[in-house]
Formats: sequence, C-alpha cells, structure tokens
Amino acid sequence: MIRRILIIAVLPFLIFADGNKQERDALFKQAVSAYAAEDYESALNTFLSLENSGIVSWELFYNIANVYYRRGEPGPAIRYWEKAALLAPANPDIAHNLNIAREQLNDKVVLPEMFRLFRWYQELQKRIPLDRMIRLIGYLLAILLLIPALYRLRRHLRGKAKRTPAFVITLCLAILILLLSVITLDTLYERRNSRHAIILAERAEIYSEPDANSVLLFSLHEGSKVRIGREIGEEWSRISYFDDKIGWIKSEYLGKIEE
Amino acid sequence: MVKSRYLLRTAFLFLLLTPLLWSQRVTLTATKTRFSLNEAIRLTFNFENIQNAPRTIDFDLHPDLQVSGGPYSSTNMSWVNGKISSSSTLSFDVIARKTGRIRIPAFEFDIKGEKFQTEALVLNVSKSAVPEDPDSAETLPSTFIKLLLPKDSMYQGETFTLHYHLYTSERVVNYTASPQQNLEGFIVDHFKLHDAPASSKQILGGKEYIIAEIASLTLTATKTGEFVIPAKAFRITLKRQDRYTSIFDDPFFGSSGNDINIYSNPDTITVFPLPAGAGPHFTGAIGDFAMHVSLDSSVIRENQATTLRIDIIGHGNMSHFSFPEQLFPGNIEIFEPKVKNSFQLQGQDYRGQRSWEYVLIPSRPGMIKVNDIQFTYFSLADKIYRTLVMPVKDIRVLTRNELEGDYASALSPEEVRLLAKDIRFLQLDEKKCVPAGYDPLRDPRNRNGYIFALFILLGFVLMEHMFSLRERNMQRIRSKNALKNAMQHFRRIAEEDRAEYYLDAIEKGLLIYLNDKQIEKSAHPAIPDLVKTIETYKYAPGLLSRNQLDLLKDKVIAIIEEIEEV
Repeated sequence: MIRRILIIAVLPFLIFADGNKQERDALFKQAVSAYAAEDYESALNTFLSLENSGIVSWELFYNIANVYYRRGEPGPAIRYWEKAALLAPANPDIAHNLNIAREQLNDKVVLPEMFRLFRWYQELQKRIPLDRMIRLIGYLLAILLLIPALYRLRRHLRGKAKRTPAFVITLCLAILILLLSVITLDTLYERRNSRHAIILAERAEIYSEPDANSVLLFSLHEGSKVRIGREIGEEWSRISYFDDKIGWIKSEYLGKIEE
Repeated sequence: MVKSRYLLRTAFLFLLLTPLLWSQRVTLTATKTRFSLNEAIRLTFNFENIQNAPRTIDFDLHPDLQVSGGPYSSTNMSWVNGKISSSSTLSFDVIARKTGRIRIPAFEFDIKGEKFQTEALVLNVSKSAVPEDPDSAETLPSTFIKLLLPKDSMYQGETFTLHYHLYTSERVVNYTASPQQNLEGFIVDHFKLHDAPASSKQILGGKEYIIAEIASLTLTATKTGEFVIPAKAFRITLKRQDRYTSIFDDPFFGSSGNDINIYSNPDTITVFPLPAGAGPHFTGAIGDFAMHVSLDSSVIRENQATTLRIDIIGHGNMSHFSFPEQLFPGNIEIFEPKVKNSFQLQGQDYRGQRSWEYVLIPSRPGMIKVNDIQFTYFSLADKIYRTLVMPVKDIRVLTRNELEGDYASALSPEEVRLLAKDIRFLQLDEKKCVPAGYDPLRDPRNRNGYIFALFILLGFVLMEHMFSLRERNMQRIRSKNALKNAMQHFRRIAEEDRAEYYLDAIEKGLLIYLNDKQIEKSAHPAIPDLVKTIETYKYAPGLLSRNQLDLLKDKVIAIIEEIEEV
C-alpha cells in the first residue's frame, strides 16, 4: 500500500523531471523545423520516434497528423487528429483541420436532424476534457465537505451559526456535482466502451462474414471513421459505419484511434 | 452673444418664410361669368404666397365695368403638412355698363421687383337674367368626381388601373367609398382609397378647383367586348367656412362637416382579344418581361438534388399567369416548382419578380442536357408576342464515390469555403505530456481534489468526535481548570479602581471557582463568613481602603488554595 502511495505521489515528477525532457523538446523543435522546410519524411520520422518513447501529447498527435496531411495521406492524418482530439477535445485547431480533411472524404452520410437537446449533449460529450472535469469534480467535492465542516466548527466554538446560507450553498454544489458526475461518467463510459478506427486503405471492402469469399456488403474509402466491435485475432474486425451499416473488414485496413 | 442670437433669429425667420416663396401667383376670378346688365358680380384678385400684396389697385378694371363696392381685402395663412401657405384677396363688386362680351385683359402686378400676371377673363353680359349655359363652368358643381381611364381599349388578360379624381372648390375634410368587389368582364385586383393624395389646382371657367386622385381600381380583363365601368359612389365630408357657429365647429375642437354622396361619371371600355399565334410557351403573360435562369450546381452525384431557378422580371399582369411547362430529360426526377412572388402594384400594373424553383434529381450518372427554358409573353409596347429563350448548363452526374477534377463545383458554398482554406500550422511545443494510453482516472494529478475532500471529511469526523468527547467530559474539564480560571479572573480585577466593582469581582471569582469545582459554599468553614462580609461591604464600599480590598482578595485566594490542597 505504501509503495503504491509513493508511486502515485512521485509519478508526475518522474514524467517531467527527467533529463530527457530537454532532449525531447529539442527533437520536437527539430521536427517542426523539418516540416517548415517541407522535409515531411524527416519530420514524420522524428515525431513518430517521440510517440514511440511512450510519452505523448495532443500537440505531438496534431503535428503527426499535419505531416500526414501534407504527404497526401488523409486517412492517417484524420486518425492522428482524432487521437489529438481525445486529449484536447475543445481545441479549435484540431477541429478546424479535421473539418477540412473530412470535407474531402469520399464517403459522406447525411444523417437526419437530431433532437436539439440530444445534439447539444453529444457536442458537449465530444468537447469535454475528461481530466479537467474529474479534477473539477474533486475540488468541488472538497468545497462541498468544507462548508458544513466550517459551519459545525463555528457552531461548536461560538454556540451559534447561520444555517440557511451554508445549506443553500451546499445544496447547489451537491446538485452541480451530481450533474457533472453523471455527464463525466457517461462520457467516460462511452469513451472506454467504444473503440473507433479510421480506414487507412484507399478502398476497403466490408463483408457479411469474416471471410473474403462471403457477400460483399459495401465499400469504404480512406479517412472514414468506423466503430470497432468484435475482433477475431488480428485479421478481422467487425465494424459499424454510422450504426446502420455493419460488416467485417480486414484489420490491416484500420488505424485505431484509442490504443 | 447678441450678434449670434440675432443671426439665429434671422435664420429662423428666413426658414419660416422661405416656403412662402413657393408657388406664388395671382389669379382673377368672378362669382359669375354670365350675368345681366343690372346684376352685380364680384371680381376677386387672389395673391397666393405673395408677401406685401397690394390693398388696392391703381388702375381701372375695365372701361365697361363700374365698381360698385370695394376694394375688400382679406388675408389667410395656413400651415399644412409642415408647409406654410398664405393668400391675400382683393375683391370688387362691379356692374356692367353695357351688354355683350367683356374681356378683362391680363393684369400685371409688380410686387417688390417681381412681376405677376393674371389670366384674361371673359364676361358675357345680357340685358336680362339668362339661363346658364350647361357647358359653362358655371354649371359645374362645387365638388365632383371624374373617372379617368388610362386608355379606351385593352387586351383580354391585360392588367390596368382606373383613377378617380376629386374636383372641389370647397374644403374637403374626409372621403370614403365602399371597396369594389366585382365587375362584369373583369377580375378586380385591387381597389385603393388614397389616404393623403397629392393635389393640384386648376381654374375651370373662372372657378378654382383643387384636384386630387382619391382612389384607384386595378382590373384585369377576362372577356372581350365593350364594358361599362359604372358610376362609383363616394361619401365626401365638406367643411364650409360660413358654417362656423360655435367653438365646437372649430377644426381644432372636432369636425361637424357636411356629408354628401357624389358619384363618379360612368365610362365605357373596349376589350379586344389577343392576336393569334401565341405559341406553346404562352400562358397568358402580358406586359414587358425579362428572364434569368440559374442552376444551383452543375456537377452533382447520382440521387443528389440540384435546383433550377427561373426568374421573370418586369411589369404586367404578374399575378395572372403561370410558368409554361418545360420538357425535362426522362432520367431526371422533377418535383412541382416552388413559386416565389415578389411584385406589387405600381403605376398601371404589377411590377417586380416571380421565381420558379425546380428541384432536379438525376437517377443515373452521366451528362444530362436540359432543354432551353422558353417563356412567351405578349408585349404591350410592340403589340406582338415575344419568346424569351435561355440555355441551361449541362448537368454532370457523378457516381456516388467518384471524385472528378471539377468535383469541387458540386460542393455546397460552405464546403467550397472550407476547401479554399488550408490546415492550420504545427504546434511549436508540448505543454502537457502524458503516458501513452493515458487514462484520466489513473492520473494522480486528477485525484488531488478527492484527496483534499477525504482529508476534509476525516477532519470533519475528527472534529465532531473531539467536540463530542468534550461535551461528555465538560464537568471534569471545568473542575480541572477551575483554579486556572479563578486566578485569571483575580488577575484581571486588580485593575478595577472603584471599590464596589472590586468587591463584586471578588465575589464573582469565588463563585466561578465554586461552580467549576461543583462544591457548595459550606465546603470550607470560612466561605459563608467571607461571602457575608462581601455582601455587607457592598452597601458601603467607601468604608474599605484599597489595602483592605487587596487583603480581602488575598483571603479568598488563600481559601481557594486550601480547597485545592485538600
């Protein structure tokens, strides 16, 4: 238990305090310079080496996506912008680049207009930075407990304290925390239980069974985003495209967003 | 300061009087132009909007006319719709000296260097009273309505507007008319009673009339032949100056006008049929038009919609024709066109724009050639049929997944706008790094708030427990701290100057100690006597000196110490 507590306390320092930080920054800047000089090959290799170090950031994913886009590979570009959006969901640069890339996709589906409230909720879920929300709920919870504690302390020491303001603030905070917790937990559940991927091949066939000789249901093109269901080994994946088109695709055509 | 005020006043007066310069003229009118030898008539010079009009004239009116009365002068000034108008009149009663035709020549007035001239006036003098000539202006009533037709003949289907003009030499304060519902041989498009019509003045046979177009009626001919436009009744409210009898008749305090019914004159109109040879693209449009055709998108995917918009712009019977049917290729699905109207009555007919929007959905990929759009109308200016022909751009239909060079032209304006932009530049540094496969729930930094909350909860429980323990052991704590509290109290009373407070404080200290210790006054034999002594001296505190008070306090402390030792 003590060992676990120590790890939790020391881990953040381990991440940032190591001497590799400076080296990492230098490599990052070197890759940016290569990109600016239109040496996309070099820039991509450097950025990918940083990704392989096991430490990532939304900026790194964003830059990798930009390099792929410049190389004329929209599939991997969208995949990395999507990865960046998982870490920084409300970032306007990511949203802008994704919009531009999506407009050039071959596969377009126009969905019926959703009920406004549901649409807002979905947009909210997409844009929620989960780590910040978890942190915020924690601090709000601390404040929620602090207020009745101070009230009781004052009552013990002075014999009297105003009850109504403390009660109203506590109630409001409790409702807020409850609301935020429900949204955060729902988002967390959604993100954990749904895995998405981007089609990386120029054209990928989707079959009715995990067999290339089965019925060809439909085709998807590079850059389309699908939801992954079951997987059979590393060869076949069951995917759904906008929930209504379901079939099997060769896993090699997919670039997973959530690792 | 004074100078600027003077300038301001001058400017204000100038602005006030400037409108007086508008429409300045002098007219000469007679109450009758046909009269008998011994009959007196009145000749009136009317000076409109002229300042310093003469009060008399220094010339003879006519050698054949004898002035029997006058000159009578009057001035009238009114403010209507923000404009000032003034008129001065100079009247003479005259009698003819001989029978026959008397021509009063034009008089010229030189007023402050400006010259004004009246029109010549002809008077017919008979020996005795004669019946009046029905054609003369004398037979015209003081108020009447005249129907004016734009032309005598129309074409079937043509839209035109009739005008009702009110002529009056009296003061009209209001007019109404029932709306025209229907008329044999015509569609009644609109009957409009004008609220504030523009007016003009005209002298008809020596009588001055104000003329205003008070109503208009827009019709579209449906049948051919000769049709009578019947007389239309108007209810006119007149206000006569000589009827002012009380303050309640004053225009400022309401109106007590005289209502009369006046009918316009009837008139006839001939409607001709349209000439033959209209062609298949004529659907009844008469007027002057232009056509504009546009295609929303000329490169689309199969089963994607594009909109063909046809605009007809111009004037004529805009609300009485449809757009001619067009021939579209068979591999396009066509929906009923959506019609948008943006026209209104203006002048003689409708003026504006009509649009037809056809939604086209091609079912197969390939090139689709849409026939030229044709529209025929009858031109009123040239009296012939004219056909407008506009080509439509070929539609290129792509397969669902096809991407062509001019694919961008099939995109929506918003998509094109986005395509025109580039992606944003790289991020120049990393602000926050996380391990790959980052899970926010496992990030220790996100748990700080919960740890604080846990500590607060623990503290809260601990605090409650401590206070609960304290509550339970309150007696023991008080007993334990009794000596300390009492000594603190005695240290404080040393500062008291007045004997009565000093005594009170000694007694209070002792009682606090006994109360904290939970013991009776009888616990020590000296306490009751000591309390009695303090009570006694309270009534005469001045008998004790400061030393005696200190001794009393020391005695109480000694008793407390003894109890503590026990």
